[in-house]
Amino acid sequence: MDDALMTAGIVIITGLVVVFTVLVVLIFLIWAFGKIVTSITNRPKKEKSQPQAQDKAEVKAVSPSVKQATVSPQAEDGLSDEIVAVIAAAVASLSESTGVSYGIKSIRRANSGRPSWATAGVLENTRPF
Amino acid sequence: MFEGIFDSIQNLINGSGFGLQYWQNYLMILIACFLLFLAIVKKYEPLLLVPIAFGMILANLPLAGLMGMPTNEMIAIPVNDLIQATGKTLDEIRQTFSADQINDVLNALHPEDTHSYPIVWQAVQDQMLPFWNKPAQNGGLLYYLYQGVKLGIYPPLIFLGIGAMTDFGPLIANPKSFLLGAAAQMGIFITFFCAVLLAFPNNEAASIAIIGGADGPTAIYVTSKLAPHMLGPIAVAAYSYMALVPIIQPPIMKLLTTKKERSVVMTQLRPVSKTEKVIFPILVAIVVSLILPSAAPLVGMLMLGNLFRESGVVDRLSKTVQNELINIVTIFLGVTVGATANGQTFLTWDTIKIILLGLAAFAVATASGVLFGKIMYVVTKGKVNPLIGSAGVSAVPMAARVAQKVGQKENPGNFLLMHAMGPNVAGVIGSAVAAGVLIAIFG
Repeated sequence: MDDALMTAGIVIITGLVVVFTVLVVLIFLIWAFGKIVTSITNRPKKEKSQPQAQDKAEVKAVSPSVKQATVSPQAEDGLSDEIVAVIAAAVASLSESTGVSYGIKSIRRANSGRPSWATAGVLENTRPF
Repeated sequence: MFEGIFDSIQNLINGSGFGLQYWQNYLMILIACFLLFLAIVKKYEPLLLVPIAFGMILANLPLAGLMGMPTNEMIAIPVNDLIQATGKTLDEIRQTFSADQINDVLNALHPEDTHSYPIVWQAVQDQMLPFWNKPAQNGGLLYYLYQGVKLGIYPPLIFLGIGAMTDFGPLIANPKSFLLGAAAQMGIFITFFCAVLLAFPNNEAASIAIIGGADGPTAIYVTSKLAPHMLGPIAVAAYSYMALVPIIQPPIMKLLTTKKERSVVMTQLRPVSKTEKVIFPILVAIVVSLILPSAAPLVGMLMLGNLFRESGVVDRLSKTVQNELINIVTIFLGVTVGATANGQTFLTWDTIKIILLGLAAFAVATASGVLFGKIMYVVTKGKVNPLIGSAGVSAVPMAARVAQKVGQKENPGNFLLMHAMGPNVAGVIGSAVAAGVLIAIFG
């Protein structure tokens, strides 16, 4: 029995040392390549900083006329200006990424038994495994 | 006349399944029906419990022979008949008879065994009496499907699917989560010690201990390599405790943490680039397989599945392994693992010990993760919520959801889910590494 317990002790120590070593090596490698990838992806941004400033100036120049042209959307009662602004920002971001310009005519609550984020969460968590 | 009818009815009963059944088989069928009730009515892990429970029913039905092994008969070639018929010795037959002449003699003696004639001819040439294997009966359906478990094929395939479903982003964003995944593997090794204390041999103790990894495929993989005879109780215990994670973990988490620790709100994780997500599976597969080759089947497949997902160039393969492949393998694995739970072998004291040790393994793994989380809480000066340590036991994503739920009870505005997913997926890699260690030592 003593031999068996001795073996068990050796297995515990060996096992924990190997598991921790492997995972610590992975921590180091992931941290290192994370740093490398971040530094590589940050580099071109600096070079492009000047054109971006020009773009911003253009946007500023255009924005007053756009503001004048837009009509404020009909928002449902109970929605604060901040929420309307957030929704407008999300739509604007979609317009920018797809290249198609979208407008907001009205903001109404969708009739659904479960919030769409909750539905997404349930779908994500109830898939097998 | 009545006596004849009575006898024939009795023969019928004796020849049916009822006549040959042991009480253990009836009990196992009852247990399987209860598991089916839990799966279908209560919706407890139905994807696993339905095939496992039905496999248990099939394995405990007598005479169906679904898990029956193929049998071979060793049959002596009737070379003696040839000797008797010709009245010559083997040496004389060899010198005087051609192959066709021997075939003619054999045709007269054994006209139905034509496939044996070449073997007899060879026996005459070799001057010795040969034997050949004649398949007497093919194995049962589940016996052949079970080979995927026995040969360690299904668990890596399930890992392939899990890899394609898993987002390692939270782990890449916060690599320190690996430490929590490693700490939770303490449950495996402490349970190994306890199993040895209970006089289990090392290979069996290692198979029982892996239940603490809270990972069904890993438990099955290790057991199929080290102690295949214990596959039934270990698989049933592993999957049962995985279903019970929301009940087992919270009391341990609350016991080991203070209200202040549970209320810690962690800072948002940094966004992870696609390049990092693509490099991650390649890097992990290479590093882990180089350090611990015995973990390569599990970790390699996990990372291949993840590369399918993250590379974005093999969507069809990614969808197949996430859906069709993993579902098919789950059916085969569930039914055949259930079929190993035969009454006579399952209902023993050892099974009860395995179930209790499995519970201890889960509890110790959770406690180790939380305690290591507390260490990280102290080291980072209160930036890490120790509850996420409990997710270091694999059980993806159930353990992470439990950490989120317990944390949100203390602070409704606290969202720990993504932080807990880091240790959770690290736990999958950690338990695969621990499995590799056990196989390397005892395999």
